[in-house]
Amino acid sequence: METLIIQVGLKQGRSADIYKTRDRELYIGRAYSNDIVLSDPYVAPQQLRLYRYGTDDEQLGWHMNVLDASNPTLINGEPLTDATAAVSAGDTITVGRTQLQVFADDTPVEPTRKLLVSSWLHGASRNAAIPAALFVLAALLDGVSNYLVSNTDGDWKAHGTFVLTGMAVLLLWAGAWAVVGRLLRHQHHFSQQLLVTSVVALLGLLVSPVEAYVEFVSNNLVWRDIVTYAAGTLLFAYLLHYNFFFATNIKHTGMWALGISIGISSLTFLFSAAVDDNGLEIRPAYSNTLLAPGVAPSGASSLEDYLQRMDRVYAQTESD
Amino acid sequence: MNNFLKNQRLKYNSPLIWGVILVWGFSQPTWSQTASELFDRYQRAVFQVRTIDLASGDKSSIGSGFALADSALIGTNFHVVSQVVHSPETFRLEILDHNGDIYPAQVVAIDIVHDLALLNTETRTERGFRLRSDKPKQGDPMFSMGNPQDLGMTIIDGTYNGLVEHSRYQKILFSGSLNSGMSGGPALDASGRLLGINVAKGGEQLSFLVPVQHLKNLLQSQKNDGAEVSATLRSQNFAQQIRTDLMNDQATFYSELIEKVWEKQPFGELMVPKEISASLKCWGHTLDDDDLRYESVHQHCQSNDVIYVDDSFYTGQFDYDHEWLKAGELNSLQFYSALQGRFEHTVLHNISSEDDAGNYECITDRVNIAGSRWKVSSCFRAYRDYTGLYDALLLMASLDRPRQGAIIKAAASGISRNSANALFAKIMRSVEWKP
Repeated sequence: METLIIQVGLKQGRSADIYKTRDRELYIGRAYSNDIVLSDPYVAPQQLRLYRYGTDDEQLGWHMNVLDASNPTLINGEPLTDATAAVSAGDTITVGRTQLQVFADDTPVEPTRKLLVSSWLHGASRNAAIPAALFVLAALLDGVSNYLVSNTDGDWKAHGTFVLTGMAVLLLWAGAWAVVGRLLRHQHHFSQQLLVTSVVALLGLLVSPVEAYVEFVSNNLVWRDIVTYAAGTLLFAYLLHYNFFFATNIKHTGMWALGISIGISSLTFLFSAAVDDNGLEIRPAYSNTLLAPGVAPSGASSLEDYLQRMDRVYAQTESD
Repeated sequence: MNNFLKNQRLKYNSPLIWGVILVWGFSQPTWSQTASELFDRYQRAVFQVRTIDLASGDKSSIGSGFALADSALIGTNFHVVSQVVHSPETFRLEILDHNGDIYPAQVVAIDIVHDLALLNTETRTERGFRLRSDKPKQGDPMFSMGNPQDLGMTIIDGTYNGLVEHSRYQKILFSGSLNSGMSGGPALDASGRLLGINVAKGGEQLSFLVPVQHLKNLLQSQKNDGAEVSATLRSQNFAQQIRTDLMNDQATFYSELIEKVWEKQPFGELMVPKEISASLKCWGHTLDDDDLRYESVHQHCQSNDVIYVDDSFYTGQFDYDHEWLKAGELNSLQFYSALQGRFEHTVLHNISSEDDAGNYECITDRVNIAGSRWKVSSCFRAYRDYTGLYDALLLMASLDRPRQGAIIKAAASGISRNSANALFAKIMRSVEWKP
């Protein structure tokens, strides 16, 4: 190992400082006389000396000398017992509250990650027109469809407030992720965050009638719940995946997003089940969807058949 | 719903109200004279009935009771002694006579449907109440005795106003002012014969009495039973008897209802049954709120009385509801949202806690009834202690017409499987669109 490469600070998210040297020695400490100056009050003014040493050229390797033991120096988490130790690529040295990573020229790096289809998505937030248009489209679609389907009292004020609240939630969500991106990647990517948030909101609007169809066809609340939870979990995972993608550098954003989304859905389900189970049902739960837009109420049972099935329900209530 | 008059955790009552009653009483010289004579003559025959909590030794609730001329037993309401009937291990009964002496008492017979109970105790009085067998005339003066709010024995006057109309369980309408704690006390005619038993109040000068005939029936059945039994066995027998009484009562009511031919009447574009039982009270109204963009007409019938089982459990209610809706200014989708909102809104006015009933099980389907499609949900929950009885709910919504709709609902508490099946089948078959 001829070149010594030292990375100061955590690498995830924040860009770390990297020092590279081919010299024979290198001083590390808080004082400005050092080669690597650490602004950490727990580090001694001159705490470490790293130097190349060996009997012949092939044996030449890097070593570390502790110059000030006011605070212990750790190598790979273990405190140094001797004043001198060998240093090689892959080691982590801890001084004060600062971590130093040691690399070599040939330390392997992660394979290049693929960019998304459009490089536009990765650029600085220049073009906000498309996200803004999609955002307005989602809000309009939400407002108009809700009004046409379920507004029975003609209350424009309440309806408008409802739509505006929805828009505010979307903006806040995209904005929050932009802040996360600014902190972790120094780039807010607000346009991109608003774009994915609006796309998912649109998808949600398109998918939402499905649960009514399922309940209408099955007359069964369980099927409806399954569809609602499944669609909700997948859409939220999809949204989180892209939120992570733009705001962080973490690997496997899809898996993380799916895991978190499934976790949240499960907790929601368990919580609602616990609340439901807390005492007697005052109201029975039954399928109440009377119409799925565009579907004729076909396939009705005969009254005799229904009455027979009704009689069977008693057996279930008794086994409670 | 009636307010039962058992007094629990005594409440402060406005002196103004007492003042009004006193002044009104003094302004009726003939009645107050009779009242004072009656009070002198019968105060020894009226008691306070106390339910004592065994753990604290203090009274948990109070009511009234009275001695009978031809029996050694004391009459009162079931709801006055229900805690002892349901939980003899937690409560006991005692009675307080006019001298302030206290005697232990035991429940020997109950009639849960008519809210009556008979008690056995050691104290004897030489003058108990005789039961009147003929009916008084409407407007005849009446008197009621009891111990309101634990304030001491009182007598109040009022008027006999016949039997309550539209009532599933016969009750005398007494235009007088019963108060909490007077439950189970005697209601007398001017000559001191027992006409009824105080049971509930409905409002100012509006009180209800159990007709004396039901007490006669209970005394008769008690004589027939006769045998002395242990307290534990008695308690088991009571639970069994409550179940049998509730079963029989619902069987009588619903079989009569189901066997009857239901006359039909037009309702919107539908033909629906006209008032199916005289014991129900029916109301109608049209929603004409300016903001409402659809039209809705309601017809609602409900039984006005309930059976008291315990403080958190009432049963015996029957309701049904027809609602006719027209889309008005709404488009079909909005209209169906409104219809759905009405379909979700269930009516079941019964009261019961987790200990009394299980959870609802529902069956929902689209059903073809008389050539039209309806969405029908029927839901049931079983009573825990009274096997074979259920709370049952039927909901129907019409699906065929895009701009008109109907919602039919029926709810019965304390109904058997057979009764509910037959009743719901009959309701479903009774609704059809006009030809």
